[in-house]
Amino acid sequence: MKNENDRTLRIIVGRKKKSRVSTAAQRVMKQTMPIPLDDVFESIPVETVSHLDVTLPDEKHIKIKLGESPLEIGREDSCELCLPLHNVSRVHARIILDNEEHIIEDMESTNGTFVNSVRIASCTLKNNDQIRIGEARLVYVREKIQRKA
Amino acid sequence: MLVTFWGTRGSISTPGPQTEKYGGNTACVSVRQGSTIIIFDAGTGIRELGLRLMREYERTGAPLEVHLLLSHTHWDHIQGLPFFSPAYLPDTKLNIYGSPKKGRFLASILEGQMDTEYFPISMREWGSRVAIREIRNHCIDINGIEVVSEEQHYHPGGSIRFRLSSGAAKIVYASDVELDAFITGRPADKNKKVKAQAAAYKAFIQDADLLIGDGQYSTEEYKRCVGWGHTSMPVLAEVASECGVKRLAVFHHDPQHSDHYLDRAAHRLSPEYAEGEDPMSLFWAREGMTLSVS
Repeated sequence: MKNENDRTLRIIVGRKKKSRVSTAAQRVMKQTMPIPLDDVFESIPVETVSHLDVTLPDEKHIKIKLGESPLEIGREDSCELCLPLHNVSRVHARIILDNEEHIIEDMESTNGTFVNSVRIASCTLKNNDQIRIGEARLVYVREKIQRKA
Repeated sequence: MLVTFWGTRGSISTPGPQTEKYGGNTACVSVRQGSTIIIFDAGTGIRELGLRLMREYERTGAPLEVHLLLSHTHWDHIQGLPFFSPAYLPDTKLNIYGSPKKGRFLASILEGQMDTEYFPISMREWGSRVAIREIRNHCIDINGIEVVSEEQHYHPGGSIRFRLSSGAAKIVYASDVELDAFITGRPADKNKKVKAQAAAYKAFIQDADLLIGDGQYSTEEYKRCVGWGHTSMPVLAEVASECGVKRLAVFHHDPQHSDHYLDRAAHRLSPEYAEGEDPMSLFWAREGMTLSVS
């Protein structure tokens, strides 16, 4: 695809060496790789999405999408993530969005909220953090996605 | 008491994808009980803490009183101070405590890093009421929290360790000390002074509910860094366990240690202390983590 020069980034992939480099390799290295600017910007991840992968004691899996609204976790039906399990308090923990990061807060539960085996009062969550609430296992997943067309 | 880590890195800040989990900011830990705010060290992590306090101030309008305990004045423990927003608020009372330095007062050292050669705003332009106290082996009371400090010798230029007690809860902050240099080895090889220093350290951390301790190096790395004033992770864990520490937060991470490296260290060492008669929760401190200690 031919592009106007001012809409094209040229990335120099290499320079000619005096020796030890084959002729074919030198030919490749002398070339430049044109990339349309639109393609470059469209490939930059612009949105971050997060979810919880929840595994229950019976091996049942649930996927919970996390957004801007707080997510309450506990034994009560009113909790967005209801875990009717042994060792889970009525309202056990919650996840809030603060300054573009998700934070899990223990709600003074009896048996504690654990992130990577550490009992926490609160913790900013990072990708692949392992959360334990009673007998439930939750994995926090955060990924960057490309802008939708 | 609620303990929050704002900066866990040693030596120099290390931002980037490899340190996203444990954090790249240098030393800063806050301890809060009610409206009392105590801060250990003012590395680059204190900037984010300052922003958090500003948001609280804007929401409540309640004047801030902050007690900043400086272990020493190396860059990674003071460099964030010029960016601590509450220091610029006339409503803030900022109490800074640190050890006396040879021939240079604490105030002049802190002012020095805000000299126009290094920073565009001088410390005199802070709007807050600032009180700087030099302490050494003191015991003070901050709103019902007892603060005990002791000098540590095994760090270039020295440093201070702090212990906070409230009711039965005890938190110890003992960063920037080379335990390998005076705690390990055969007692027969140590002189009286060294034995006394080892005993003093152990007595200080005895039965702490939370110890925030210097564990910068692996055993192999330590061999190349003898005399640099930092501790190897296994030695820190062993001494803490021996002294009945309940939770040990390994702190002052080496700038070269990635998240992956620290994860592997945790997987290797933590299980050793998780079980037995006196289990100890051993973990690596990470930015954004808050623990309740009671």
